[in-house]
Amino acid sequence: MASAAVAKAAQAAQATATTSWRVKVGIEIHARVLARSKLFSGASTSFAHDLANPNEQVALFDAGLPGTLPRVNAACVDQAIRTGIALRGTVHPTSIFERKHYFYGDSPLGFQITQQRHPIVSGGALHVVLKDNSKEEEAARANKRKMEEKQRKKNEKKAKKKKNAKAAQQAEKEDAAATQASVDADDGNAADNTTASIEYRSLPQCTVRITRIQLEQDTGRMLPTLDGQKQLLDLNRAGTGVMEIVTEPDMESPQEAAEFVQTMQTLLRTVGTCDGNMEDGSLRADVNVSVHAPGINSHRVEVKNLNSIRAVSRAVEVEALRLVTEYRDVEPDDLPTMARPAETRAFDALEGVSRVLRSKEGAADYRFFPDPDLPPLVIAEERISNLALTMPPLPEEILARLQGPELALSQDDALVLFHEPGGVAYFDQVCVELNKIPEVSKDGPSQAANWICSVLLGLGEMSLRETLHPAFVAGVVDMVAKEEISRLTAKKLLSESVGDLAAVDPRPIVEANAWFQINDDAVLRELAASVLGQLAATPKGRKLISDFHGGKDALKGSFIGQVMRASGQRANPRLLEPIVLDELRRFQ
Amino acid sequence: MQNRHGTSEESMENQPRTVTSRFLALMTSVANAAAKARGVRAVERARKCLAEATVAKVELNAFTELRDEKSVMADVEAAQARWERGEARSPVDGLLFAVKDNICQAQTRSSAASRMLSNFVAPYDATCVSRLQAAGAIPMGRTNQDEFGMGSFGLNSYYGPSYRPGDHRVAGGSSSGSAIAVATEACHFALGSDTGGSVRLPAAFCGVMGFKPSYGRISRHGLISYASSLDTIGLLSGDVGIIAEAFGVCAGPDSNDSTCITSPLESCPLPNETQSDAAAIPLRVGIPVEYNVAELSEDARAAWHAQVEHVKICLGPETSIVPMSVPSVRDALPAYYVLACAEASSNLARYDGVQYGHRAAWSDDFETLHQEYTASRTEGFGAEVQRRILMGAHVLSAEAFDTLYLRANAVRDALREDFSAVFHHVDFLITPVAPGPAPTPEEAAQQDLVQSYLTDVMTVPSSLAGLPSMALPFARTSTSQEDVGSYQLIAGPRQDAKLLSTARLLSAA
Repeated sequence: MASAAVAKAAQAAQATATTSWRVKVGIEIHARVLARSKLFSGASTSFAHDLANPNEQVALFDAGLPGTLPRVNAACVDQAIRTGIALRGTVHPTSIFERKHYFYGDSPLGFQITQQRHPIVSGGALHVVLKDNSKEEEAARANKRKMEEKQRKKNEKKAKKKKNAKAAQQAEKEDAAATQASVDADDGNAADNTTASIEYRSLPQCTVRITRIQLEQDTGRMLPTLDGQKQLLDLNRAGTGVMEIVTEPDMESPQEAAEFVQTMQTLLRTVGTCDGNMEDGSLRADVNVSVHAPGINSHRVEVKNLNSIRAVSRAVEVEALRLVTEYRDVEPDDLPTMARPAETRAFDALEGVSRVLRSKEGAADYRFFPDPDLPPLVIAEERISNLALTMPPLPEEILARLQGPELALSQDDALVLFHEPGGVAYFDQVCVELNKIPEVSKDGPSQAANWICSVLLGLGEMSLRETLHPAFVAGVVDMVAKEEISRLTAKKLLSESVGDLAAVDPRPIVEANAWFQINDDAVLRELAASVLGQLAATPKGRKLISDFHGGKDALKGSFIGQVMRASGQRANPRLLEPIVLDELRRFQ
Repeated sequence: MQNRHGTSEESMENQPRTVTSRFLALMTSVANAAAKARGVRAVERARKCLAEATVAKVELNAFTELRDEKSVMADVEAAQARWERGEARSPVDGLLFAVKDNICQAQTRSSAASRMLSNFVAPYDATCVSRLQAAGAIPMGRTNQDEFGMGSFGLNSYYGPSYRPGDHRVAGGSSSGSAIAVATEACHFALGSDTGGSVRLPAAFCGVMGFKPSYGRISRHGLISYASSLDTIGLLSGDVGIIAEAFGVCAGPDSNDSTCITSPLESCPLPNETQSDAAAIPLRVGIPVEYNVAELSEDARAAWHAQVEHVKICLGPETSIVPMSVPSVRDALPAYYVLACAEASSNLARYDGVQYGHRAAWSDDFETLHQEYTASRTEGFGAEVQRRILMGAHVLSAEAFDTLYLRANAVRDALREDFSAVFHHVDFLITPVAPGPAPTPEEAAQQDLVQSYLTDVMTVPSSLAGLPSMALPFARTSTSQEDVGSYQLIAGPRQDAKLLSTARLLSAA
């Protein structure tokens, strides 16, 4: 026995020395149920779309008035069932609503109605296809350098301004605040040199098991007045249905956590059970992070209320580093004293640090018990099978279709369209338009996807259906495929027409601007002859041509480019190349 | 020509009547003539009531509020005119009813006799109130009670104790004011609520009839919750026919209460005014031995014997009297207090003074929201309410949940099973309502907690099992004592109609 303990300690010591850490992440998603009315009252939920003033959508029950009772909104239950089906979980024939008690201003009943011991759905899984992030990471690093440079310049400017007394005072204040922030940050930020010691899992995909889905009420909102003297209460949100989706700790990197949330977001949007908008709180995530090395299992840290995909990955990153820093220098003998209950933290997205909200050790006793005002929620098998029949295609099926033999989209384009709200629907509309065109190219769909992703999705906030009429996109794709316009023209055509939804045919614009691609052999030959002739008339040009003939093949591009420019970018590059090479021979 | 039920079909259209219409038909076919006779004299009868009501309010503290006499009389006059025109809305059209203070009435202070809600004006009507009003019955005032229904004597009210007429002993609780209002004939019937005996006990102490229907038969929408799984709206009156008619109006499913019974009322043999017809179906009446507790007074035990004899006489010689055993009844009282307190602690958690209700004056000592809540709740709740909230919070705590809450629930399950077995063999059980006579307020105040909780020992078993039960007065002739003995008739699950029709036979004698 003793030797085993020694061996274990030695193993632990070695682990801390070599510091090869793994991170484990479990996530709780809080998804506001997409339904016209609240979970237990008839009050409308349109406040979520800014369609109501504070406290305008509050039924008597939502405000906890004496004598009012809950009644389950069947539409919310259906939504939870659909979500359960989509996640391939088990929808239970009987589930139970329980009361979770705590006193707070945003909880008018003094308790939250939720599901504890018998949730509506348990089990299931979500398959997450991970994007190849190497390019994006490089871009992010470059972006970061740029930001730092910007900040440095800004600081320099500020320093100059210090001549002005008032400005100087202000800057001092800001400095003080910054110092304070960095002190606070010590609590959350780990030393950079541990970065390398965490081995994030890197796989093309992962499967995250779902523990349970429970239906519960959302709370109201407390907002402090500007002077901080009072709290204002808005009960519009109080009583709205929320699905809490809990996973097993199956994610092992910030990227997996972030893409799990994104995939879940898309799934919920696809099934239509949650609008998935993180910025307005319709979808929130709590992440549970722990780190592990041979012989060491850290305590679990929960970071609550993350409201962006980016915040999810940042929170995992920050917490993993913080935990490793906390545990890596611990002597094996001290490990038992490190055993701590889970703690709850809040993440500050602006500063990238987390702060302790509460330790679960001192957590309140919520005094759960079955809500005596609500009979058990009984769901007939028939109801489940009827809902299953009305399910839209699920993400896996959609991705398979997009990448299948017929449409043949690249994985990147398929994923981008899939994650974009309304992306697949827009793409499908373009395909419908493509099919109306006679003798359309077979790779039309994949070309269209490419144009949508590369041009139309680079436009920021605009949703796809606000950009261009699908017929217009289809027309452009077809003109490119038939070599009537060049890719460059196509790009110009698409980006310059954005917002003009009345345009359904690109041809008139091409005609008006004379943007047709030059495919005529004679015209191209004439153009090449003229450009090369002018070139050969100069000593420098003559040298280039003779260098080319002398074996400098790389110069070929430059000659083609010059002819291309002279054509106003309209020459068909595929036809142009042999012609230019042919013409060059004449200047040998 | 008015139709057979004395109702106008049109005005009933929007009421979810279907469940009870059949029962209503059964009861009113007999009562129709009586109802009409009442209806055409509604104004004269109401005047008498209101005069009594004023006295009962002042002398017995039966009411927390009386409705303005003029507006009551205006309603009564309109009702009488309907009867005269043959357009009465229902058999209860024109009857005056009192409303227990924990049943919400629109634009009316509905406080459950608590300081916490002493400024709460309900913005809506309870389902039972709105159904009664739609049927033409007229609310005339709000009755005093034990705060939030917590008490057996009617002494725990923010508005002060109420007393039974005659001897100023306790009226019984918690629906004390409703029982007094009926006993003094200040109204024709009264709404009460019964969680562990709160309709039956005051009815017994005041010598009127108190009916606790099956749990879920009358919607709880608008009843200020004490213990949701036990709370039952009940009816008190001196006339079983009126109770049956008002019940017919109130009962039935309500989309605002998910715990309502949705199945139709049990059918029952048509009761007739002649005993011989009833005797054609011999009834079996059980005497549950577990109710013969040590605390039962000698007088009460003697009365019980007399009551059984009385019942046998009323129901006919064919009636069999059978001793029965309901073993789990022995554990009912502790299980009741565990469950009722647990639910109370949860149901009363909403009272924090933030949106409505009593809020403590601001103090600079308040550093947290919780301190403000604590101050408001400490001031707003009376001692008994605070005690039950604290006990309930303990029951639901992680450490006590299994040993207290789950065990009490197991007792409740056992009770349901025991009773359902018993009702395969008998039609009714007869028991006392209270273990002894009504104490004086001084005697009641001297009782320790367990003693006072023991007052409910006869009534909580049917509350836990959700069984329809009724307190029926029994005028003793064998002793010279002034006190009125009452007995409890308990029927099987959902046998409300059968209970009421049998009660009619018993009270007709």
